[in-house]
Amino acid sequence: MKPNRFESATFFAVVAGLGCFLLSFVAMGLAPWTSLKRMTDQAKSAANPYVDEKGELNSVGRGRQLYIKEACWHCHSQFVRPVAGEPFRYGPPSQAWESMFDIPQTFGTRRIGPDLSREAGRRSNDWQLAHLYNPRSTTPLSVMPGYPWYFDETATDVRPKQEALDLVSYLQYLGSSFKDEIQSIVYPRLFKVTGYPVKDEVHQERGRLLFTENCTGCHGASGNGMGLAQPALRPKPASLSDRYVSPSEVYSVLNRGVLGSAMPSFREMPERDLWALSLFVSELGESHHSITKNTGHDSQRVQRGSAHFKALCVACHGTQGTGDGPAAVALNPRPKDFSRRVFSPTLFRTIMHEGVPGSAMPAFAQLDETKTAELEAYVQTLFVDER
Amino acid sequence: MQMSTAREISSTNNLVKHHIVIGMAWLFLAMAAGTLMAFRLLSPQYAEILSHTPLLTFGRVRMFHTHGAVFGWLSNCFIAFSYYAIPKLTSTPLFLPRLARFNLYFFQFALICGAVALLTGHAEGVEYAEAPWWADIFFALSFVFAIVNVLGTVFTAKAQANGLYVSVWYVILGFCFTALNFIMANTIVAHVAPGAAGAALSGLWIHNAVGLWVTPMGVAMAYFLVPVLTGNPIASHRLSLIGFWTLAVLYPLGGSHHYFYSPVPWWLQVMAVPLTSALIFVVYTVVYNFFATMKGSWHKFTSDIALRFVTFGVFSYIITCTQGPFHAFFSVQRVVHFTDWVVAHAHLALFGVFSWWIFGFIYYVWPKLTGRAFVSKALAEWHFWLTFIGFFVFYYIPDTIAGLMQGFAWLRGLPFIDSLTSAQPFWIPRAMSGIMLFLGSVLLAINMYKSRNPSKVGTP
Repeated sequence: MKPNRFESATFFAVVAGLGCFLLSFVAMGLAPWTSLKRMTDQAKSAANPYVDEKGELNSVGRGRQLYIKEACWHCHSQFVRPVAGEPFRYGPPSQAWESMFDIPQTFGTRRIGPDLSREAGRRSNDWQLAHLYNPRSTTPLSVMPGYPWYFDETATDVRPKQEALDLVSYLQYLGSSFKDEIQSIVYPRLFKVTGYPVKDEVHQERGRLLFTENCTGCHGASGNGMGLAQPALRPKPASLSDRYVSPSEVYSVLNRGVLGSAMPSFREMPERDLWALSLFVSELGESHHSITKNTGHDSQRVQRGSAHFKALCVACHGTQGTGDGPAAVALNPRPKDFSRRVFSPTLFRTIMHEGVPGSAMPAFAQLDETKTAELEAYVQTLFVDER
Repeated sequence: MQMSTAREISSTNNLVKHHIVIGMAWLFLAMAAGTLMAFRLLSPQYAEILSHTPLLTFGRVRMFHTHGAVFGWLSNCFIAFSYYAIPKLTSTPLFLPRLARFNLYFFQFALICGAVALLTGHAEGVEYAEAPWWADIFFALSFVFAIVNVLGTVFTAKAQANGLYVSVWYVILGFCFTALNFIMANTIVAHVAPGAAGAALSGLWIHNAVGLWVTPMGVAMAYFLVPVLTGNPIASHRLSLIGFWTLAVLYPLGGSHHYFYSPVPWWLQVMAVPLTSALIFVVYTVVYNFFATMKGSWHKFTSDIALRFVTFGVFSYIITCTQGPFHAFFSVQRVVHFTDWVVAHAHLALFGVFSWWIFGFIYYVWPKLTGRAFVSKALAEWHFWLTFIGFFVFYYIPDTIAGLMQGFAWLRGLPFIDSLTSAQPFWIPRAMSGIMLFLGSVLLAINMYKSRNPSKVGTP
């Protein structure tokens, strides 16, 4: 029998092995490459974000190198799909030109952790560093590995090495063309609700669980603001047991996060959960709710406090103390709204003496104890009880 | 027909034996890495296991796992199979035995270079080919040496009356395609192609590392083992041809389905749908051919452990390759992409199909190499059942469900962390399966060790 020419070794090697590879390389590689080149050329206005003027890797570029060598991309994807609610969760869907300097690409094929292509401006640098050092410090349920070897650890202190800073530069670069859009999704400025549902036992227990699972890393197990991540964060996490915040305000803050601080938005939580958590958090400062009842509105003290307030506070906190003074627009974190929270006397004095490092709130050391008390009395009258 | 001398045969047999044994060592490493990762994902406390060791951090171990599994375990065994089967099928001795002996060690050297580079933080961002360029050069060289030997053997063979056996076609395809694909990935994807273009080419590489390296080599093995173990000739030459050519032509064209809904050009994504769906023909022609060949011999798999592994591998092949074409629908991708569903699918292919075919091959070939039947039937049975139950009940099914939990948690817009906590209960059996599969393979190793020398009583 004559050997079949179409079943010879040469035929298989050349046509199947070589030919089919070339076919797929041209169809699946070169063709899309050319069609993309046209698109990216049109959009090409930006310089390579990974190198400086001398062509050496900059901080963002070095961060990307670390991202690759630690295989971050095996658990975090880098493209937002226009489906499955991803634009709501992450931001605008990814476009081809965004990754035109990424060689090799880091799209990724798995999401054990969230997508990172819309990370710019989403979280504070403090948060990112605390999270890199120990992910459980900011996200108690996280199973991400920590990267303590990118930090200098001494007995009393932990400081980021250059590598950690590079990595954070890279994370803050990702999606920076859409930074404003991302922030308007994650930190909606106008989100504000009033009123809240009646609390019941289910709310209380659900709220406690959610608090443990989501909040204890920064705010501490008892809500005193002394969680694991606390030393890394400025402004410091709020001590929730030292202030009363109305449930509707907690709900608003959980929805919009606190831009300029490490407090992220929890708007993805189902509404029932958000309310349960809000009621629980509000409950932590319940003992301070009654403070306002002791203050008479017409007393001399309040009158004098009002004068101090007009002199010192209205530019940021507004005439009604609702956190919307003329300067407030420019400030992150936003000035606090006194109609929805009451501070404990201790906390009030600490803030007046030390300010809030990491925010625009300065220290008012010039105010003596009498004036501080007068101001406090006035501020308490601004509180509007929703009950 | 040129007869091989006894010395040549024993030299080749030694090569086959060593590649298998070293392959097993890589299997243990890859499984240990996989099990470590599986445990770390169970809870925040477990995430801290060995977490202060940079060498063993999750990301690096993740790359080591696929490196060890695809290149260490599967590739060593595929080379072993080629060295064993090609000389037999072409009635020609191995082309350059000395090169093959050198390459036995050089191949491991290249792999160890890659593994060390990955663990010490010198990885490249090319999925399944994360080893850096200098390790890639060693690997590519070593791969070419293997090709020289295998193709050299095929091309020096005298033309035979029946033409080339179907296994030989697949081996030729696998080696030729993959050499080019590997070099493409480590040059163009790693250093030239940016962003979405890189993703398209990366899709080509990762898709075909499985589709045109692991698949053809595995199918070659099955085409070799099914007739040999059942004693029946291959049922249909025509189906073999259809299965082969559809694989070679269609399979490489579907790679972009790994990047659906990404910035990869839309026309490419759309094109991948019919091309991937068409792969259903590849599978069913091949599977039909196997089953038709087994006709009248089905009862043999109850007693023959090699045939049982091969047959159950074929069952897994049906499942995984039926899943595959359906994954190419956008509606399915929307839910399962990025989830553990895909992880389960990949393990079903690489472990449930191809590793089982290799186990079948080992159970068939080891007695031939050592001159002694496996001493323990019980160990072999334990290996099979630990592997079968450990994989299907404890890995594949829970992990598939975990994937759905994640996909639907995202679809419902729940907080991201919910996709993790809802999957974690299903990851517990997955971590246990790591231990079961490891144990099963240890039993195989013990059995191989006990049967390493020729029996004094008589040869099988």
